[in-house]
Amino acid sequence: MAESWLKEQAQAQGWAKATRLEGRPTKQGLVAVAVDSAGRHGSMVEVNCETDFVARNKSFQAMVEGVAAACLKYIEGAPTSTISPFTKMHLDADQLKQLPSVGGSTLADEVALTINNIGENVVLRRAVGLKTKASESDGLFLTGYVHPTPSQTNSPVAIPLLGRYGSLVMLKGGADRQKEEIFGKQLCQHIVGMNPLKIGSEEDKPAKDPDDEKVLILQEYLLDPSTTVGPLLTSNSVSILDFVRYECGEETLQDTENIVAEAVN
Amino acid sequence: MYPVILSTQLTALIPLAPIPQALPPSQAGRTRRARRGRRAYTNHLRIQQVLLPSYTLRRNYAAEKKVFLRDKPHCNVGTIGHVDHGKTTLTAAITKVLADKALAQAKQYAEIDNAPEEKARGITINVAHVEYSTPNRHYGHTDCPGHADYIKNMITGTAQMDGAILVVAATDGAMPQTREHLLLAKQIGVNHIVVFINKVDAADQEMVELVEMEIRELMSEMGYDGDNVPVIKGSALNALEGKSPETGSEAIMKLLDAIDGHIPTPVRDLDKPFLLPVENVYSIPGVEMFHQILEEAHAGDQLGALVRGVKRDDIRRGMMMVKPGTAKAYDHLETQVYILNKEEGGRAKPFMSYVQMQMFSKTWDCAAQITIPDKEMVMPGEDAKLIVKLLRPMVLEQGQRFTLRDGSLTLGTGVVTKTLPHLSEKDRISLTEGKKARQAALEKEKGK
Repeated sequence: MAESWLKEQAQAQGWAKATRLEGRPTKQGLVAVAVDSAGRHGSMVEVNCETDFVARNKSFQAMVEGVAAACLKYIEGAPTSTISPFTKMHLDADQLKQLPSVGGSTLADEVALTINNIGENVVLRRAVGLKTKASESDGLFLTGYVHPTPSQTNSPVAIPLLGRYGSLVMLKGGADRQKEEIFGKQLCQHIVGMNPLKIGSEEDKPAKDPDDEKVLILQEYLLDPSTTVGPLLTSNSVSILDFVRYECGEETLQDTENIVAEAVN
Repeated sequence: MYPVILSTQLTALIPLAPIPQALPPSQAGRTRRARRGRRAYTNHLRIQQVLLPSYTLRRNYAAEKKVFLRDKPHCNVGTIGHVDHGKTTLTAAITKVLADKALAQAKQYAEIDNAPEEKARGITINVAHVEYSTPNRHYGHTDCPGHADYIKNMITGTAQMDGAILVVAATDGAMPQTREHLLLAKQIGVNHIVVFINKVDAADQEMVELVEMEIRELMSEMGYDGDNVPVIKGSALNALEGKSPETGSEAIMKLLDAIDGHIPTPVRDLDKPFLLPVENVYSIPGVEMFHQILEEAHAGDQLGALVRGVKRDDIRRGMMMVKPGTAKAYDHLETQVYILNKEEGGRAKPFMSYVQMQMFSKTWDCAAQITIPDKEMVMPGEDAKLIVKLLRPMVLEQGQRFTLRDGSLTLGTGVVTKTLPHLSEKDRISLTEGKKARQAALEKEKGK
């Protein structure tokens, strides 16, 4: 009884504080990426706060992990597209607020609690979910990456990764899944580092200055500048169907959706 | 054998030659006439300029500070704490209380708030600078909005903090991120912290005591001497508004006393052992080339030194003349570096371990191999800990600043945080090896 009363009090206080701090600028924050261990479902979220001190704090990080996990759960339960080989969903701030949290309340409640705890404005900015069809015979799989990431971690994939940049990539592979997953992760790292705007097709002409190249398949490969991404995909017999890149605090590009849809068709 | 002249950064002195351009019109005519009369001597004058010892170029930032010293020792402090706990109000209150004693210029809250953008070594930093004096010392006071800005501050050395004021509101107590504030202080080498518990007028006595206990405990946990750290309680707002002096202006004076007493005056570069980096080496046929004899040189001076008993070819740019036993050459370093983003003139791409860069510091430059211990790559606009391996040992010390360049592009600015044991012969050979050889060596290591 007493415990639930305390919880209610904290929630009420949180909402009061959240209302008071609403509208204060939030330019810092974290990007979290969560992919299930089979690589069939994935989510990426951005949560903003006021200072980078808070972004380094464990309790804030735990909250962001919770948001990524809630999105992953949501995308797992979402209906699958019957036309496209995979399903992609963008969630804006209002949609995110209404998602059920892992603890049973809503994400908006979780955010209010965090605001009360750390005393800074916190905003759920955006999220994206990707899922493949139920059968695994299509060769599709997802990989994710965040930066900065400690170089020695070998954490299980299902645990969300946290950083200032994140990417999620949908790939179609052949036989050697283990090798392809490593390549997929490096491709994700390339996307974080080189910031391509679209996958590109054979019709795309290379940019005059290779440093300004924004078409993924024509970019110099980050891990080996002597080759470009296109031939590398061929030699690994992997094709890339879709990618999403988040940079914490960046201006959003609504049109990436359309570009990617074109590439799929 | 001819004596050898070592001269330091002579080229930097040329712009100091008097150029009477932007003068008010009333003086312009006179100057033109004067210039015409002097034209024949221009060359001669230039040479004198170069060798005149009284033209001093202040080379490092610590020597720059000496200019502001006036009659008191200088000390840099900064405020850290939660955004709502009153850092800016406290800073404004300090200047107000000291302005009443004619020791500072009062600053309004709005003048300090919203730390303006400033460029230091090409890097954009958000930082508010305020200065004031106590009867004992002169202070530079720094306030930055974020962790990254304090790191950039430390790397560029624009306002190295000798101590910090941790501001905590009595109404809230320590916040979860206070831990991150103290971690930052550790990271940028701030060993002396004074705590100010703010807003005591809005909390009851019991609450204030609880907050004090809490903050002492947290400081001990973070490796500071929590039991003995000075904790001052007051209200910055009262001080600013000139209300209830016991929590207002008197508390501010107590805080300043604690800062005076608890944060030691740092050792300035003027008190450090002699060090003279060599910029250029000349052989001269005799002493007749001297136009002026320098009787005494000060830290920051440019000078030519006549050195007998060494061959010209034994001395090169980048070497240093030092007090024997005070400096060493290293080829293996731990550094903290800020990588410029594209807007700051850096490059757009990230880099990964084993990249080769050219490192510049004092008068030397050397090829270096970079490894990143904590991340897989470093993005432009990020700071990072980097391990630097130099192709050959260079004279340097902890705290020395440097630039990393690639061709004509400045990639980043850094500071040496630690010198590491010398490279073995094998390590040095591997520096020049390509990726393939490195991978093969790694495989072999794994196979064992």
